[in-house]
Amino acid sequence: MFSKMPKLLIVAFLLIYLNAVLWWTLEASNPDLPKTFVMGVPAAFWYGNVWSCFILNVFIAWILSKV
Amino acid sequence: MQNGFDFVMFLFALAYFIITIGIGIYSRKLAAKGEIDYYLAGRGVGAFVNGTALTSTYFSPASFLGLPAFVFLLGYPMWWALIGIIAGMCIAGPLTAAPLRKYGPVTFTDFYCDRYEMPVLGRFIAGIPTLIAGILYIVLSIVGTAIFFVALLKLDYKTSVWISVIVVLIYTVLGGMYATTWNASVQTIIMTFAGVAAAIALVSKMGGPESYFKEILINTPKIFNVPSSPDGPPSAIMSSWIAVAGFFLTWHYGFSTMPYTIVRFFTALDEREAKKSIVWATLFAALLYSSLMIVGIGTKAIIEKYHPLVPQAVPIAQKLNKPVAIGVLALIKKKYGIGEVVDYAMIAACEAVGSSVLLGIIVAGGLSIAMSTVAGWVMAVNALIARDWMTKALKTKIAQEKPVLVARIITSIVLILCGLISMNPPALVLDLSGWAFVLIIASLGPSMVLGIWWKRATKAATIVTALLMAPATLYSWLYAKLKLGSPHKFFLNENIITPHQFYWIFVGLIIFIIVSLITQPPKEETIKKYCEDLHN
Repeated sequence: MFSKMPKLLIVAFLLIYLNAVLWWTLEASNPDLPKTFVMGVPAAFWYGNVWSCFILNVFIAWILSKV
Repeated sequence: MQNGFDFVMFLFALAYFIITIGIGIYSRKLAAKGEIDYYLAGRGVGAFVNGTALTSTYFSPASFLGLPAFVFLLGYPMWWALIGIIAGMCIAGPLTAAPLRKYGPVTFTDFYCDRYEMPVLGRFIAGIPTLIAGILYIVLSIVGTAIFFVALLKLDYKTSVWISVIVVLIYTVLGGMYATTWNASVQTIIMTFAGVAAAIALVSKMGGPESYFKEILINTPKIFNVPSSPDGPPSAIMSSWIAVAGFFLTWHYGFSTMPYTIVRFFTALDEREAKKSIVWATLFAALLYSSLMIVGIGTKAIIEKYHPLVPQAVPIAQKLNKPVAIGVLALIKKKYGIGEVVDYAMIAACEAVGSSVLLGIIVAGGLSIAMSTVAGWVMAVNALIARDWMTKALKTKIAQEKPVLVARIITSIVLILCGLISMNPPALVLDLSGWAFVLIIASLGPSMVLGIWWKRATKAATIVTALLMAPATLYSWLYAKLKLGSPHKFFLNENIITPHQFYWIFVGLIIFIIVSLITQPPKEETIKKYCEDLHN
């Protein structure tokens, strides 16, 4: 019934949602996590800004461009 | 706001306009060749130019002004909305960009007409929600452009609206998609540079990253709180995780389904270039949004510490029982008549840095982002009215004989109409953007994405979903805004926060699936053409 969807696209969808849910769960269990300073800046900068925005999504875009 | 005319800032804006209008005039000869050239830049745009054009078309004043303003209002949880947008961009390549480029239509509604076998009705079923969303987006882009003109020329807001309309009119009418594609590409580089420069300047002004974030936490201790923090959330709107997820999801799906980005997939050289262009778009988006997160989180602290209007704003803030930063914005609103002055927060933060060069870069970047979006949407709307409705559906003589002339007349009418609405904008630019997104994604998104990937997607489901979701999203947003005071409150219960009424996205998807399953499946040749051949 469905067209053959590239496996990597399905994996990308899962990664995106798992990443968000993972950090929200960690934040909910430890509300101080976003403002805990790591290397001079809040942890939220590292996992929100650097990891989630830059590394994960640009990597997914790059790998999916090869599909 | 700094008083008086700033010559350095003016030079930056002047350089920007010379480049923009120059590209528009140069593109005039190319645009005049015919329909494919005017609407789709001859379908010959490479990955980098197409990707950067995608970035600047997709990102609007809702990004450059609205997102920092919302981070300023709602605190750190709003960062996840920006992450959601970028997380939506990276999946667009194989999901819709490559298949749609392979299929190769001219306009957004072509897909609905062909895939769902409704050559005339499809123009209106897909076209009406597109027109409404287009008007919302053109309005918010004119509002954004006008706000930058206020900062630049120190003119009142309403005069700035009409200057914005005239400038956009010149290069869109002259150049068509050639002009908007090449301009948009240049504009992405300018706006990304401006966003990064703003973040660096704000952080430097506060003495480096560590003292920047420490000052922010001293100024606003709750700003990094999450909804379940024992000390309470940064704002009432962010009091539940549903709100965080709602903001994340509202823009997340838009990149793959919004007409103005879909049209950019058609301009790419081929499907490989369409997919590669998504990588460039995601990279530039990551740079810009990371910068805007940093700017937004520090806006209140830096305005209250350095803005020249703070001494005058303190008594106003005390009277309003609001933070001093709101007092500064209230003063600016009073002086220049800006309808929704919170949209000015990002510029006010940059004014607080006290650098004309920075303001010049910000104004050039802001004008880039606003004008590229308005141009992208104007092209989508005039293609819809002039080509899809007047030529293909209604077969009017003038549109068939002089398509480019008609498109230019439509562009002028649309811009003037939207200029009139922009005089008194109905909401903050980000609210207008969220409204347009939910409207399009809920009413047309399922039929776009599932039409490519699900063989069972039917014409009946497309019609029912569009007819139910377009009025539902319009009504619920307006009701929540006008009756409950915020478009982010659930329209049936004001105690529940549902940003932009985002739940309609999932309601629309479920309705589409159910109606598809109970109605007649499409023809075999249609399934083969759109659900099989587009993926080979």
